[in-house]
Amino acid sequence: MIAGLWARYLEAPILRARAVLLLRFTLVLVAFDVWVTRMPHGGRYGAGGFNVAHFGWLDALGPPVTPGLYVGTAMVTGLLAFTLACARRPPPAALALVFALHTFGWSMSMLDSYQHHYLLSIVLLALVGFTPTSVQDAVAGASERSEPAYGLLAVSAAVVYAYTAFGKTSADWLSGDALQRVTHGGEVFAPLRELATGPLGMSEPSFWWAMGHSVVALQLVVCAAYLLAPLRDVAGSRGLAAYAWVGLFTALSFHLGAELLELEIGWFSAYMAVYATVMFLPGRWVWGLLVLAAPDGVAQLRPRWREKERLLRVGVALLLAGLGGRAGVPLLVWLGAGLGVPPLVLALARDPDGRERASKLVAWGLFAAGTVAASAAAALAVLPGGPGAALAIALALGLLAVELWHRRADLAPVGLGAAAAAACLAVTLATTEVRFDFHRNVGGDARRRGDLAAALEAYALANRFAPAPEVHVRRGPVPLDDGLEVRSAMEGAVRTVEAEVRVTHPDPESLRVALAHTVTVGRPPRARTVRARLRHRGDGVFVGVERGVLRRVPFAGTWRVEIDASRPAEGTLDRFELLLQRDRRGAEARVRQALRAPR
Amino acid sequence: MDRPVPPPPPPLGWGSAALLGLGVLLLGRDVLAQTTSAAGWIAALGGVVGLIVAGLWRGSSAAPGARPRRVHLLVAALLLVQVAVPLTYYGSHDPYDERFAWRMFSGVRVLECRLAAFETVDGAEREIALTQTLHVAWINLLRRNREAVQRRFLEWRCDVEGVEAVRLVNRCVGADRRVRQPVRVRRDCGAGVAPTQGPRR
Repeated sequence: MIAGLWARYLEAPILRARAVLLLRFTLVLVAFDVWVTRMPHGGRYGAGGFNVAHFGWLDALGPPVTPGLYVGTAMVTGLLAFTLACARRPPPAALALVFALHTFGWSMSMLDSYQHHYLLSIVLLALVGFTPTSVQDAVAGASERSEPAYGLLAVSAAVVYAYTAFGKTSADWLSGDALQRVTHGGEVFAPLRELATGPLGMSEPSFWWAMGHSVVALQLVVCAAYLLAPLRDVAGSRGLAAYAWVGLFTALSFHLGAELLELEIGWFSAYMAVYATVMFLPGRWVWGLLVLAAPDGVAQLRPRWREKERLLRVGVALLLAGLGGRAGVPLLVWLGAGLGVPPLVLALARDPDGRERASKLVAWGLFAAGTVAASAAAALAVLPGGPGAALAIALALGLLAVELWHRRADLAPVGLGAAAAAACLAVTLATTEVRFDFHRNVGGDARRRGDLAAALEAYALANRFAPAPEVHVRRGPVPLDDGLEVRSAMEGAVRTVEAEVRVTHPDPESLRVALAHTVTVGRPPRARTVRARLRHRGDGVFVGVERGVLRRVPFAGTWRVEIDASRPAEGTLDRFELLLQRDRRGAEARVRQALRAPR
Repeated sequence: MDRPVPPPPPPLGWGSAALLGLGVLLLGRDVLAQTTSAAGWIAALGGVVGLIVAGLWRGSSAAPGARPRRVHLLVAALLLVQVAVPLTYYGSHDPYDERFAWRMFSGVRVLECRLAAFETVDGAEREIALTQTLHVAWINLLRRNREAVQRRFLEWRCDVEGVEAVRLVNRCVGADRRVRQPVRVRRDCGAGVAPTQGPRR
C-alpha cells in the first residue's frame, strides 16, 4: 500500500511548464550567482597554502586548491549553465556536468559553507532527472506528464524547511531572543510591535514569544506546501489548491522578509521565491509565465505580434535591466537577461514558422563561434583561472556538441547560447565590482600576511577596476563662522568618508576644523554619529578619513564643516570636498593607503 | 501498482484539522504565558501530518503509475540520505559543525568568540599572530570551532620547522551573555592531536 502510494505520488502528472521553468530559471540564476557572488571571494582559496575541503577524500584526491581553480570553476559553471538555459532540450549529461562543477566549486573548501549552495546541488541533481523538454513543446503540446524528479525536488525542499523549523524550536528562538539578535534588536518589527503592544494589548515579552513561535510555524506551513506540490495539477481538491496559495504567500513573505532583514544569505531568497512561485501557482498562471520564456510565446497569444516579438523581448530585457540597474537591484538585471536572452537565442535559431533556420554547416559555424566567444570571455576576464576556464568551457561545449550531434539535435541554439553566455559574463564583469573586489581582497590578505609586493600587485589590478566614488563639492568663500555644508542622500552602506577643506587664514595651525553629520531623513540602524576632527595637511588644507560610518538603509543627511577659530573674521572657508565611498567602495581609500605603504 | 487506491477516510481530514486547531490553541497559551511545552507542538504537528497524509492520499489516488519501480526506489534512497545527513548532526559530539544540518542562524552561529593560538619552539611557548599567518576567513572558521579546520591548522603549523607543539584556545560567549566552556585543542608535533579538553557539546 505504501509503495503504491509512493509510486502514485511520484508519478502524479505535473504541468510540463513547471519543470521547464524550474530548469531554465535555475540555470540562469546559477550562472549569475556564481559570477557575481562567488568569484569576488576566490582569492582566499588556497591563500598561504592552507585549505580544508568539505570531505576528507577530496583533500586527499582533489587537485591543489588555488584562486585560479575556484574562479575558473565558477566561470565554467556559469558559462555552461547559461548556455544550457538557451538550449532547446538541455541533455541530462550536460546538466549532470553543471551539477558536478557547482558541487565541486563549494565542496573544494570549507571557506564556502553557505548551506544553500549544498541545497542548490540537490536541486541541480533533481533537474538532471527531468525529461528533456523544449519550451515550445511545453507551451503547445500536451500539458501534463509524470516527472518523479519533480517529486524529489519538492520533498527535498520540504526536508530543508522541516529541519530549519526543528532547529528553531530551541528556547532562544521560541522566546524571540534569537530573532531579536539576528535582526539587530528587532527594530524592523517596530510597527508590528507597536500594534501588538498597543491596540492588541500584548506585553512586549509576549510579542517576542509570538514572533519566535511564528517563525517555526511559517516554516512548517511552507514544508507542508512543498510536500503537496506534486499533487497541485491532479488532485482537483479545492482544499489543496487553497493551501498552495497559503504556501505561496507564506514562502514569499518569509523570503522577502529575510531580504528586508538583510540576513546576508546570498541569493537563497531568490531561488526559493522562484521555486515557490513555479511550484505553488495554479497551472494557468505558470503556463502564462512560460509564454514569457518561450521564443514565440507572445506570438501564440497575439499572432499579429509575431514579427515584433523579438524586438519586444529585447525591449523588456533592456527595461528590466535598466530598472534594476537604476534601482540598485542586480537581481532585476539578471532577470531581464534571463527572460530576454534565452528565448531570443532560440528565436534567432528558427524562422518565424518554427523551422530550423540554419543549415548543418551554418549551425556548426555558429557553434564554433559561440565556443570561441565563451573561451575568449573567460580568457580575457583578468582573473586567475581564466585561461584554464577557457580550455575547460571549450572542452565542455565540445562534449555537448558530440551529445547533440549523436541525437541529431540542432547545434545553432547552443552556439548562440554560448555566445550569449560570453556576452553576459563580459557585461557582468564590466558592470559590477567582481574584479575590483577579487583583487582588493587578495591585496588585503597579502598585506595582512606581510607580503607587500604581492599586495601592491593586487591593489594595482584592483585600481584598474575601482568604481568611481561619489564626490560632493561646495565652494566658498564664506566666513569661517558660517561653516559649509553639503547634503547627501544615500542608500547602501557608507563605509568611508574622506573630507578635504580649504581655508584661507593667516594662522591655519590655530584652527580646529571638524566634520559633523546629521541624519535628516530616515532612521539608519547601527549608524554612527560622525563628529571627527580634521588634521592640517599644510597650506590651509585640512583632511580626514572616517570609516564604517553608516549602513544599509536609505537616508539623507547633512555633512557640515565646523571651524573653531580665535579670529574668524580674518579668514574664509573656500572649499569643502566630500568623497563618499558607498557599498564596498570604501576599499578604494584603503587601496590608496596601501599603495603608499611599501615605499 | 496500478490498482486503484481508495479515497482517504473523511475523519482523517477533519480529525487532523481539529488536532491542528487544538495545537494552535495550546501554542497560543504558551506564548501568553511565556513558557515552552511540547504539547502544543505535538498536537499541531500531528494535525499537519494528518492533513498532509489526507492530501497525499487524495491526490495520489488520481494518479497513474508509469516508470519502473527502481526509479521510485532511487528517489526514495536519495531522500533518505537527505533526511539522514542532518540527523547525524544531532547524534554527533560536535555542536559546532552545522554545515549540512539546515540550522540557519542558530545559537551556535551567533556565539562571540576570542581565539588564541600558541606554539612551542625550543621549549618556550609563544602566541601565533594569526592574522599574519592565515587568511581571515579561516580564522573565522577556527573561531566557530570547526573541528576539521582546527585539526588541519595544528597539522599545518607542526610542519613549520622547529615547532614542537601547537594549541588553540577559543573562549565563547552566547547571545544570552553566558560564558561557554572554552574549547581547547592541542597537538604535540609527531604525536597527533590530543583529545579536545572539555566537552564540545
